[in-house]
Amino acid sequence: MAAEAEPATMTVAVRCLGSAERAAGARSVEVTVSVTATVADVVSALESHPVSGAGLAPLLPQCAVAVGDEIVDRTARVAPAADVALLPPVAGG
Amino acid sequence: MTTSGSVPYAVDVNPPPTGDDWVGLSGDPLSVDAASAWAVVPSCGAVVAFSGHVRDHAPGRVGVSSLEYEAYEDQVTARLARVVEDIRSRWPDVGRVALLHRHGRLAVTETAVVVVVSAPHRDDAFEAARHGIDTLKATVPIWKRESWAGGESWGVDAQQLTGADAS
Repeated sequence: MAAEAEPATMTVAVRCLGSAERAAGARSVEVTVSVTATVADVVSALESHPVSGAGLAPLLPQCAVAVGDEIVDRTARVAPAADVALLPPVAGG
Repeated sequence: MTTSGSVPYAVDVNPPPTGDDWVGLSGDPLSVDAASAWAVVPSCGAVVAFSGHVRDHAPGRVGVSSLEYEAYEDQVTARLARVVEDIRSRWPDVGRVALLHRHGRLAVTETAVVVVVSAPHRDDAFEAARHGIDTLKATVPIWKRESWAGGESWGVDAQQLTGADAS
């Protein structure tokens, strides 16, 4: 109990939609973050992702992030095994 | 699986058998006429129909020949239903509401989106339909890729996606 434990981490698979899929070069990008991570932490991990980070970085500030069915802001917590999706600006209609 | 011309999920090009809400994402052509006819009910004296079509140009792009809509299909129908809820909370007298969006590859002039609202009086019908298309464009996760004389790329007039009750 006395020793500080290493913070536990989790792997989050982020689904990349629309132009984000092409920017990432993949439909889904996995990042490892702390179990107490917020959306901002996930976005930051995407930005520094070794394969997809460079492509995604310019797009990330404009992207909305959905956790489950809801679009959430960057301060929201990401639960383990949550469905996370990266949604670039939309152009329907 | 979102970009194929075939239709991998439920299509609602036909009106629902019951109820006053008709929302759907379709790989087949949309009919604003069918939606307008469906919206006519005894209590409503006004029907406003909006249809959005593929245009031959976009900002900085001339000679657009076709475009392809890609949808986050898991969420489109639910978000369209939320737009209907939002309309009904603002204009409680509204009768029927249809919100339909196409996906896949569309040629110039094809119908990409249909918004139809009926209401007892025209003010509500006009305002609710206008609010409906504006909210749809801001809250429903659909993206378009344009093919034009200079190449093919994502639409440049996109807007940042917002949560459900954006006003």
